[in-house]
Amino acid sequence: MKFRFHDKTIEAQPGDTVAAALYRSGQRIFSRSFKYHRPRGLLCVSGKCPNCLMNVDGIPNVRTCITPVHEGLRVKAQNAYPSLETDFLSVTQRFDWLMPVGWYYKTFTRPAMWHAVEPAIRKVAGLGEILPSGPREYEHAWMHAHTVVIGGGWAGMQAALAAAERGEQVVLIDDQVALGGQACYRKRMGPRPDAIIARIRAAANIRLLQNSYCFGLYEGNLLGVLQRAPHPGASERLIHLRAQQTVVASGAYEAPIVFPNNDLVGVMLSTGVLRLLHLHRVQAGKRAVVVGKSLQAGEVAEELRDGGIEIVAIVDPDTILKATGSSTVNGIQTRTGHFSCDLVVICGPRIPDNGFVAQAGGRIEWSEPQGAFLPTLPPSNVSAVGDASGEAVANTIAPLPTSKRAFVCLCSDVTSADLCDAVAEGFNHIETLKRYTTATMGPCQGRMCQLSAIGVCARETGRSIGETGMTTSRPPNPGVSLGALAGPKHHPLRRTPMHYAHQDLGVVWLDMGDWQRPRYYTDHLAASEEERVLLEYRAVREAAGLIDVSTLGKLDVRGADSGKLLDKVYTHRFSDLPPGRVRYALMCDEGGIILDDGTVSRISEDRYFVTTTSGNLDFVQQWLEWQICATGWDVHITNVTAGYGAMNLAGPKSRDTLRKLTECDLSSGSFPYMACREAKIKGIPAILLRIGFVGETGWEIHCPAESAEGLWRAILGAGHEFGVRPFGVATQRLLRLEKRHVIVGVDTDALTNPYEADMAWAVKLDKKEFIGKTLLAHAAKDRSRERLVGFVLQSPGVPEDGAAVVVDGQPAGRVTSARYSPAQLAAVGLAWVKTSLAQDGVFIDLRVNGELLKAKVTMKPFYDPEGVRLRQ
Amino acid sequence: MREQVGLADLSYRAKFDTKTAPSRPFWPLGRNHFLIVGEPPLSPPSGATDVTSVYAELLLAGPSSTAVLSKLTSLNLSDAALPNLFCAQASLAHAHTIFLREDIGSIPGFRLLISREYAESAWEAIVHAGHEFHLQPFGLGALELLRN
Amino acid sequence: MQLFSKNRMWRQHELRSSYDVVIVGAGVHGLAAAYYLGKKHGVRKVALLDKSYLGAGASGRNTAILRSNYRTPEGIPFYDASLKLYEGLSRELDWNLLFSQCGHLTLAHSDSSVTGLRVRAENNQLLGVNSRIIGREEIGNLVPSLNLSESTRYPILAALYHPPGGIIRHDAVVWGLARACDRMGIEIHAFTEVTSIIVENHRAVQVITNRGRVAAGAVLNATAGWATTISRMAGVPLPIVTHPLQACVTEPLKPFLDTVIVSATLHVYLSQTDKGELVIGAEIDPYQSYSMKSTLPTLEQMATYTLELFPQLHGMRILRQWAGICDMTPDFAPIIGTSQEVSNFYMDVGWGTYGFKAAPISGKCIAELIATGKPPGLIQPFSPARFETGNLVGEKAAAAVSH
Ligand SMILES: Cc1cc2nc3c(=O)[nH]c(=O)nc-3n(C[C@H](O)[C@H](O)[C@H](O)COP(=O)(O)OP(=O)(O)OC[C@H]3O[C@@H](n4cnc5c(N)ncnc54)[C@H](O)[C@@H]3O)c2cc1C
Ligand code: FES
Repeated sequence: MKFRFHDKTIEAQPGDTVAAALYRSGQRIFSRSFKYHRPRGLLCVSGKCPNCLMNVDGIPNVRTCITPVHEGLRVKAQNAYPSLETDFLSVTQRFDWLMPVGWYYKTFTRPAMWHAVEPAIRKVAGLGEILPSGPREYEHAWMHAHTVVIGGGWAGMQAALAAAERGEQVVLIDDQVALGGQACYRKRMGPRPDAIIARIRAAANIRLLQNSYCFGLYEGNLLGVLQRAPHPGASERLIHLRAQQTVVASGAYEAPIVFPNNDLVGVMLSTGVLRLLHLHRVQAGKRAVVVGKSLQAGEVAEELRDGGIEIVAIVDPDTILKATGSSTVNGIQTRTGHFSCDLVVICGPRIPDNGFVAQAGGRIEWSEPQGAFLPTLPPSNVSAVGDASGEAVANTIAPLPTSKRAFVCLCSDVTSADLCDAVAEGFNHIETLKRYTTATMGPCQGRMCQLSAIGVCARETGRSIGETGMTTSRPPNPGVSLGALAGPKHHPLRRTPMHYAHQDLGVVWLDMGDWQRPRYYTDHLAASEEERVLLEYRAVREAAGLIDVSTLGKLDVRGADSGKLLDKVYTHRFSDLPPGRVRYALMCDEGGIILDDGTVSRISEDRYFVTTTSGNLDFVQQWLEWQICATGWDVHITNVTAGYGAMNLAGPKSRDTLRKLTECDLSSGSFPYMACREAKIKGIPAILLRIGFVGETGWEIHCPAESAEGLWRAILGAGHEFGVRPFGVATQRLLRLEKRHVIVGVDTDALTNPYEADMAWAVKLDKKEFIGKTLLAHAAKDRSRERLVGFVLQSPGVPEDGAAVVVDGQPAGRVTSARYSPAQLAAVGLAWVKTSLAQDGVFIDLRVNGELLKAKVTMKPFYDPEGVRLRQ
Repeated sequence: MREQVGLADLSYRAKFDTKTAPSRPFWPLGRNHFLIVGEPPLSPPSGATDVTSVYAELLLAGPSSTAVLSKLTSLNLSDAALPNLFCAQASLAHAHTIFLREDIGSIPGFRLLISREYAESAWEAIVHAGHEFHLQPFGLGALELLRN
Repeated sequence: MQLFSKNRMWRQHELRSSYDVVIVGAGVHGLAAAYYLGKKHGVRKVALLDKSYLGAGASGRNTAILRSNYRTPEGIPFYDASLKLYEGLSRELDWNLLFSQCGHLTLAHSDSSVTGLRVRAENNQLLGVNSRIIGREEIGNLVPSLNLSESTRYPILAALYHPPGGIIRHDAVVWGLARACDRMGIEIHAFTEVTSIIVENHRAVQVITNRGRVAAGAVLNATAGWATTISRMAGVPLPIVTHPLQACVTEPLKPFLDTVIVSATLHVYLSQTDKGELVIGAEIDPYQSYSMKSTLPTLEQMATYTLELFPQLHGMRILRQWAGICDMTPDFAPIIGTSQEVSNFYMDVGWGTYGFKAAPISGKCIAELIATGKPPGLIQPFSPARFETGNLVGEKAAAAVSH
């Protein structure tokens, strides 16, 4: 297998990670540090430190030490120019004295200077760069289990087997390629537990998620799990895993020891060296100094010797003065002498990985004898086992010299001296210390530095480590990609039953929430929206037009108490509505603020057909259901929105058109304005409402969704001889504006009451009780607020929706909708103005393209003010 | 379908929504809320609302059907949580869905009632999620074959 | 030179038995009020009490977006005055607040949101705030990395561009103000929790804390998300509910985004810090809670919407996610003033999801009110009395997700 590293071709062996293959090929520097651009080499070899971050196939900050090689990968270093080996910005190290902790707060306090230098600082900060990358598939999945075990080491496998034997459904999550945890790379611990692994694989009720890591334990025992390469078609899958019991068996990881030059290339964690050796058959060096306390260090030394690495010395961390070398380590200076080597193996403190217990609400406390933070009071459904619980952890805390080059936080280049300074300045709480120095806030999420930072803070403040405490453990940890979190690109789209008929007619779509609605129709793309809208407008006013209104919310309300419910939630009265009649319906909240509007038709004695605006359907349905809770009323509400296709046929020729398709008597005598009927049109059962949003004779026709496309085409066919045309929302908006009909949410906002919106007629204050009555009664008398008025612009031009109403140079209202009205031969619109201006004939100033233009207020419709055409 | 998973559109089937427990087989949706689903023609019980056109009905059947659905819904679909002839409501690919578990012999089957306007986009999402399991659309003929 | 000095930012004190003013909550609002009390009015016998460390509340958890392109004639001059104070604050405090006025873009993905933005632009211009609607081409020039394709589900149609808007380092503001207060002799008491307030004859006379009781000439409630808990102690009802608000950051990246991006349709707002991290904020959680735990669904939403705008970021990892709590009022405008029930109990609350930007001006105004007894004109529309008269401020349409 081969891959590209800049312009080099690197050979890889089966099972190699990118970092292992690079290391084998001789690469030693893997990254440059964040602030000082110091060279950094492999450290943990387990994806837990920041040192191996590179750009892989266009994606920045990839942990190359756990990224398997694929044929043809493209790998690039980041944060280094021109190359990892020579990075010009490493000169910043020389000026580190100019950049003590918090330096950026203390310099450039003059705005002009700051504006001048900020771009330069921005440029050098940051790590990776986004390069073009191929498409990637991300997936989501959900899983449920009785017991989830996080970690497939010895303890985790035992826990999984035990749970499986109790008959529980178990999910075992492990982030490694092979089960077995430390046993895979610490040969001295004994042979790999193959027998157990085999039993796990054989157990029918254990589901194994390998190459997967858990990144958070959320409320309700929800575990976030990221599975890498779940199948050839996907690169990552985010699994939402709900468990009744969670067993945290995530083990312990090793952290560095703090001494001068502890970040030199070639200073590696013992686990990293062993992983390279046993998982990838790579010797990290030839001659090694092992740094550690006796027992642990001795064991590691033995194992390295077995692997063919010469051990120069075993050194107690307390005796170390510094590591030597300029960019790569060449020795260790102790109080007793200098030991030359090409590899320093750190046997650092082992940190139990038990953040999940804290995330679940468990207590984590410092254990002095074990030198670790351990779970003490886990919640009943979470337990920790193995190293994560601290079972076999016994650390003797590392010494913490104050000298400058002892790096505590590798991610952010924070030294122990920085931390001491910060504490001296008063950042003596671990949370403020973290925020001021940015220690623990880097890409490794504090894994490498948290304990040392706490150690420094404790020592400097004279508190114990236990008193100092940890910072809050927050998911996601480890991090998760945005792609995995977002999941598959899947936008639900709501299509009306006539969707494809519109497409055939050359529709231009308008997105309204998830719905797609025709905005207008066009037969050639060159035509402008204005032209097409005018054409559709003329058809409606002179012949007839047909618009798809299927997105209206439709509720079927049945039962003896339906009228009572509608009286309560709407401002109008409906219990006295005779069957066969329709009434406008306005809904307010307790504060008298308009929530929604629509129509209520009484189909029969105990059945109402209610329409709502497209966007508010769910809300209205819930609101109605909520109001009948615990009343014992006999009402059954069914959302039948999707069950009906709906269209509005409007215009002087609509009766002639419809008459060709139905036997229903459409004359105004037997089917007057604001009446409703059930009838068959072209054999299709339909509900017809004689209402007129656009101000012409017309019918809103609701029919079963599966027949709606047929009916739509039939009406257009029948109307052809009269010049009937389909029209879209853009045209409808103009037509209704000429009638001064208000659209809730367009002309009203979250504070509008019906009196302000000039809809007093829709409120029946003499009704005994309804939602909002008290405050509406108050609002009926209040004239202090604004009012919605109509206006006709007195000069050419059309104000844009949202234009300001200006009084004495100050904003004093706004235009909600404005269009050029063919009926008025001028722009007309609706606007909010002070109540004092809300009178016929008053002139107001509107801001149109920065200029003030006069408009005349009118409280009447701009078209057919008496409503004669509607009733014809 | 016997081995993997298949998807069919059975939207033609009749559905009624009612608040009084009917005397024939029904699916309980909540307290005083029942759904009747069956082959048309189906006479409506009195007081019921005809919701035939409200819901599209998709049938997902086959051994991998749970695996496909678990990529689209948070609902627990295991045999223990949703046994044969049980139903539940949850969102599926962002659309509210009624899940009716109705196995075909020993083959797991889920009837998915999805509000009609979302059905097409839900169908696409299911087909996409089913790729890795070689999901196949199937027609009424195949369903007959399976039943026999 | 302060760069090399290791002076303490603020000192610790024993609680005294009485103060002229006791401020509950040492977030940015409490600190700003104390700062202006000391600086402008010479009132320095002031104690700031906070139950946690400095910046533990929303002041250390926000996305630090500053802007003044609000919607109403009441809101615009108020926030504009605040922005102007912020512009001079680094210098005044001799502490770099890392305020980058990188510009602020509110995206519109539908005709109705263009209308909403136009209302703001018009009112802003009339009141002298630099703010205007720009089209796709200009958006593309300002943010080349943004996905301006017309084939996405919610294509970007236009934006409200507000050049003086930007981001600031929130912690730096808190620390800088705290240092300045300390230098004037104002006492900052961290880890001092107020547990009750004793009211006699319509006056708050004593504040009881876990460290003892103190007598107070005046009490200021500046506890944001906890506002109702403190007001209840004084018997003052507030029309406020508390909701969590979440945010997250990615790993650092080389700069690719130099302005603040807000999209109300997609319920997301983003900026890239000088360190390179992308900061992403969500809309408030739909339920009331005091929980500061983050949730997975919200994180997924933030990711989804971020990728709508910047699909190329799919491989970027989220490093941290957190939640703060927000004190939401019915009209998305703050409550600043004296309570009607208790004459020396002041409030600087109702900051919802947008209060960080307002701290200097509200601190300055409330300090003036406490010191002189007269409310400055800028805060009169925000008086608690408006909930009785019904004169709510129509900021809801603009403030919703807009920070
Ligand atoms: C995620 C998020 C993003 C945000 N983004 C922005 C943004 O981009 N722009 C913007 O302008 N605003 C934003 N905000 C809002 C802004 O952060 C807040 O409005 C502002 O910080 C409030 O400041 P404060 O000082 O009033 O409150 P806080 O900072 O919350 O301070 C209140 C203090 O009161 C203390 N306290 C509580 N109870 C007691 C008690 N009993 N005794 C003593 N002390 C007590 C708390 O410990 C806390 O420190 C955001 C908020 C959040 C959560
Ligand atoms: S070493 Fe990674 S955050 Fe400090």
